Amino acid sequence: MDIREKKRLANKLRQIALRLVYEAQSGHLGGSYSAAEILVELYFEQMRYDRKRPDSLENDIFVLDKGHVTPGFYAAQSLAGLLPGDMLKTYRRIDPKTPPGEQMGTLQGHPKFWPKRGIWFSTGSLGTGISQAIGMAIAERMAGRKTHVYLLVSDGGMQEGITWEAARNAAYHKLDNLTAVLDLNWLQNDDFVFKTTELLPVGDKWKSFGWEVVGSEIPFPERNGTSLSGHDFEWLSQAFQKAKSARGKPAILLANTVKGKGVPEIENDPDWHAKSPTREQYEKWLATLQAEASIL
Amino acid sequence: MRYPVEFSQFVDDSGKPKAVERRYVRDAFGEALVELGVEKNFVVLGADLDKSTKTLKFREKFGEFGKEPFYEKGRWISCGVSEAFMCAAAGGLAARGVKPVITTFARFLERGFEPLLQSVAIPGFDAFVLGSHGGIGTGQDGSSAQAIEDIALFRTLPNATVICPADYEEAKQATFAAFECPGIVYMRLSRNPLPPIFAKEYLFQFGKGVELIPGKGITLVSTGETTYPALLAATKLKTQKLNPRLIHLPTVHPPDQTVLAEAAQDTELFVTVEDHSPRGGLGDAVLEALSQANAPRQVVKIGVEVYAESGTPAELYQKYGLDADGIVRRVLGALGKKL
Repeated sequence: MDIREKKRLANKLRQIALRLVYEAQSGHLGGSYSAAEILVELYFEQMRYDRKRPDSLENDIFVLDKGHVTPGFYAAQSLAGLLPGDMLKTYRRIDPKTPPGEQMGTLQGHPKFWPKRGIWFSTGSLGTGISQAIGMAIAERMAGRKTHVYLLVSDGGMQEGITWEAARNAAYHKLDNLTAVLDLNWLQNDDFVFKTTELLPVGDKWKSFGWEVVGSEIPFPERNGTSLSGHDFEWLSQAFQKAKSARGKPAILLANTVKGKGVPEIENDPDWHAKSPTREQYEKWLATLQAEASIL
Repeated sequence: MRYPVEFSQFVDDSGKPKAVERRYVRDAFGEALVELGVEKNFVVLGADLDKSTKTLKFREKFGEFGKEPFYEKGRWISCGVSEAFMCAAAGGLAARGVKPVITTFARFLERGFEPLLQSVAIPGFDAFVLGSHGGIGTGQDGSSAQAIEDIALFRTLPNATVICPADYEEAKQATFAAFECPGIVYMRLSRNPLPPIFAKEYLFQFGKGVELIPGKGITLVSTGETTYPALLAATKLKTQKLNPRLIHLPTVHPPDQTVLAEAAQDTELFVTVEDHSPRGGLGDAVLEALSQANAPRQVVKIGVEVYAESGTPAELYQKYGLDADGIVRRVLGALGKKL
């Protein structure tokens, strides 16, 4: 797929995500926007799957460790044809029909295992998705399937101890059927990452845990005016190819991104981790995105 | 169900406990896993305690994942000392149709509890979870190793069953039965070798309590390692002109409401005995069952009320009132009598 088309899809994804959060008056926009290009690259270039059979075991697997960014995730799934468009209306809404305890017919705020909709994981508690992805990568090896497991993780998730337990285990088991992308937007729920704790150096950590590291982090204070890799489809495509050529070890892409990318009012603003727009904001930002789409 | 035991199996004519050949319940688990491994498709996850949880035989027979000679066909997965990872990775395996058997000490499972509930319980997967070395019976390692909250934790999971076998035979049968049970099966085992209570003819059934001693007026209810001291306590109480019944509940959750309601018909006092906190464990399971059966009775809950200490299992059971004398004292105390 050409880059122009991917850019259009990323724009479309942002519009859908905005609608989801606005209509539900609840959800995580900032982290959905930082991951928009990553999700498009995954769903429309890297992953191999049969959109008519989201529950096929032969499909490549995607795991969203940063489970809060469902606006972006469900938007990507819907654009990819894995999720019927009308299901988006159920986002974060109660299911009035299904008895308590059964598989709901609605899209939860954080993803829950639902293979018929192509959701193979249950996340929302950071770090658990990384371990689940490793469990799946092991299961794929055991079954001899040629699938690949893709994993999207966040800088907030790097602060969970389980992440590093998982990192060590993936390398020990030589899981080269696993590729992770770290969405380095440098913001988390309360504040900037560097004002919450310190993660630097990030790439060196993963390297020392035995992973193939593609790309390098740009610390937040140093990246003004820098073109950021996580929004650059050319970089993403090449980085995935490089990651997949690694043998005998899992790989991670360090994708430098902007939280809230695409809507200037919310870019790099810690307040926009989990806030929902007013009607005026929604209409204004939608117009911004539509204007961008018209020139793509 | 009824499985009446002979007192002569446990005590001599003078009422002293007989010397019996004790066996490890963890051995029963480890041996059953090897037998099950031939027919059932599952993997075992270990966190550097395989010598203690007795999964080494499974590991030898079915191989380590990724290592020679089985490579990708190896069915034992080394997680290292990473219980949180182990419990969440189990969810990934289950998602792709591979049944996980999670094994470590009960204490360290508590660390993996949240990843387990997120990755296994919420998606509704089947998993067998072994928590070995439960309770103060763990002994000299002290309170850091003595889980007294694990049963309570697992009882709160909507799709979990909690079992605590009382001897080798029951542990072996329970392990086999667990593979037929949907949802999460949490099996809590003790560290110590336990005296034999059940013969091969015994049939473990999920959710069924076992009346070991018939009686009237007082009903003792025990599980796991405390069933043996409860049994000895019952023999002592019989010499005090009391006629206690003893019910062993190998399935702590869901408790056998039928056997408890039946007993309640001629019981004024229930006494529960567990090597676990009396809050959230067997004692509360019995209280709930009696309440739900509309059979409110006085229930004295014997359990571990504080964080304990190092000591031999026998010393600890004596000091913390889980041995036969301790149980007898609490029963008599509740009746306003003294030993």
